[in-house]
Amino acid sequence: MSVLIEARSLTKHFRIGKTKTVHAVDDVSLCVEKKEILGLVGESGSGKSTFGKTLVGLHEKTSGDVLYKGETLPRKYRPRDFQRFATSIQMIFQDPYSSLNPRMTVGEIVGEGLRFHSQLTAEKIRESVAQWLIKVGLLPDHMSRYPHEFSGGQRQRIGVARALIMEPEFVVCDEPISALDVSVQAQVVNLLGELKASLGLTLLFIAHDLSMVRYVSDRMAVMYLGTLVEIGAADDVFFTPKHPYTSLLIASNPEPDPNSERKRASTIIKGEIPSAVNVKPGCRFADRCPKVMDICKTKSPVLNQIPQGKIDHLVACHLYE
Amino acid sequence: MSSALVIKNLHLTIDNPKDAVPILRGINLDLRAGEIHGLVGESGAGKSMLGRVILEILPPRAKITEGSIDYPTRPLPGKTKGRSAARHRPHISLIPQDPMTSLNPTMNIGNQIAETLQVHRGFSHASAFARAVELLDLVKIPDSAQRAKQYPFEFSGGMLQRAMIAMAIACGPSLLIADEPTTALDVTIQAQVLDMITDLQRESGMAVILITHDLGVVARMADDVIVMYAGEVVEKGSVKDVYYRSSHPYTLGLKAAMPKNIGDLNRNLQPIDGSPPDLFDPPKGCGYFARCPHAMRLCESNRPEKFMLSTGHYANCWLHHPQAKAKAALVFEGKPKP
Repeated sequence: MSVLIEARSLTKHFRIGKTKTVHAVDDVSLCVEKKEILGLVGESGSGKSTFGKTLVGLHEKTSGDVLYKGETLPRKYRPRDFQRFATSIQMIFQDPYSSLNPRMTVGEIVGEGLRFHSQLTAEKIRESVAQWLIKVGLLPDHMSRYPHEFSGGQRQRIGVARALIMEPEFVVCDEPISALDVSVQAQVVNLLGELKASLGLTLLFIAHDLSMVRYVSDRMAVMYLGTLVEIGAADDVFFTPKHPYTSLLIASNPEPDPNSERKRASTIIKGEIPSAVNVKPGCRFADRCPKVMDICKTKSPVLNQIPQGKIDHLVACHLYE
Repeated sequence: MSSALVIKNLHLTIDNPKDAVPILRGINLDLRAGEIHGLVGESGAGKSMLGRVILEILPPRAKITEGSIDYPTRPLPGKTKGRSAARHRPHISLIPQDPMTSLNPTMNIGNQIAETLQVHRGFSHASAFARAVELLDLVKIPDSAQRAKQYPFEFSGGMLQRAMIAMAIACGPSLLIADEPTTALDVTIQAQVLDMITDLQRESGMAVILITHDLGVVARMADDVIVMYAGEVVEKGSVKDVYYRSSHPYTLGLKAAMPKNIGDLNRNLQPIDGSPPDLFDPPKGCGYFARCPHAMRLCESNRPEKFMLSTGHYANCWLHHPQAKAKAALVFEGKPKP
């Protein structure tokens, strides 16, 4: 396998006023292999969406690089850059209600990318849109309708069709299923799986539903307060988590099984994710960590290799140094 | 155990310019005091509307067309003219889904909790505020005296939801309706909030209706589970009956649509095809007919009867009719053993 897209020390800070800085993403390095699904989990405020958006150029990078097929992408995208990458990098957004223009018909929404980026005639575009609507489980007749006429699951499919009609190689899915009902989540997840198999897609799948991420992904990465704390094969991270944060996150994940749910120890993680404004030195999880040591409060841990299995398992924790 | 709430054949419609849309279609429930009842179903199934009927905070055009709601533990006072019915129901309270939009942004948290005590219990402002601080302590908000003077924007989502819980239990309700109390929260905070609701329920012995779409949350918390679909109750029973001996195809479908956290992963999530029926044109027969993989001809035009499977375990599905025995055995076989 070869690397498709790689983040090297990717950092995104937001300035608030003159003195405050939000460390949304700090020094995150990871790579996504070709035809792989990498799951990215973390609590809200952990910077996972910002990471996804910075990766595809929707945010200007504060520092660090993104390499796509070995080519360093610009720090700040100009319109020309978006044009260039529209056919290879796409994004599926979290909220199927606010991410579709209510004044455009479904045909216009899904076909817009082709109108700008291909030489196809209007008629060919209509054909292609119709085909994609069928592929995502809608009807060609839906082309003339407006987004408000669809349910949440159907809108998410429109979002999927809009991203995939460009036949991209790399797609960032930012919580594509969290707004959907359980029965419909499975529809969208299976659809992504089928399209991945038929088109050879590479996906970064951002979500907070751990069971679903483990189900979907080949590898799984965990973020906490802007930093990457653990990354490895999805099953390794899910069943043998190394970082104390990952363990607690997975222990909090409710399972639809009364027997095992009731046996599980109760309240597991103290406190809440702190603010990412002007973070303290040392490990960011130190204040909530049950295994905190003195070194954690002064020195930031770096990602270290854990000897395990075939796929690299990296964890950023002083316990493993 | 005594009943906290009895609902008989409840029908509710919402008027729209053309006709009335049936939202709840013949709900029968008998909730026992001192238990947690999980109410599950997808969006549009009518779970929140059922919560609102019980609280009598219906949207303007909603009407109860048939049926009754009784609170055997406490008779209802008559409606007072010009005042909201909710003011006379200190024994039922609500934890809403979204704490951010449910609190008054211009009032500090302590005063918002104190208000309920002043209105329902006749506390003076000073004693109500002091009690509010105690309640914030009870829901484990640190520095409660300081925090009570702060405004909602100064609280995180998890803290706001705790404050909402403090407000909900202020008057010592006998029935607490928690409408998706943790949907807006992260799993780590969700675990904290759910454990807190369980603890408070055990201490006070109130009945809780936990409305959620998360089967995992229900598995942990609930004694009984009520599964709703398209404005009807399709299955009801103890949590183990409903999870391990699921007896409605919709419940089976929900379970198959969730990934299992087991080591050996066979990647076949079974989605439920299609979407819930359009209640503008309500189905004549079973609401689940169009999506049900086991539908029979009978199901299209005849509403299923309620079949009792064991004590306290019911399902509304024609597969339990004696004449469908062979087919039912096929459908419900292969279920995981308890």
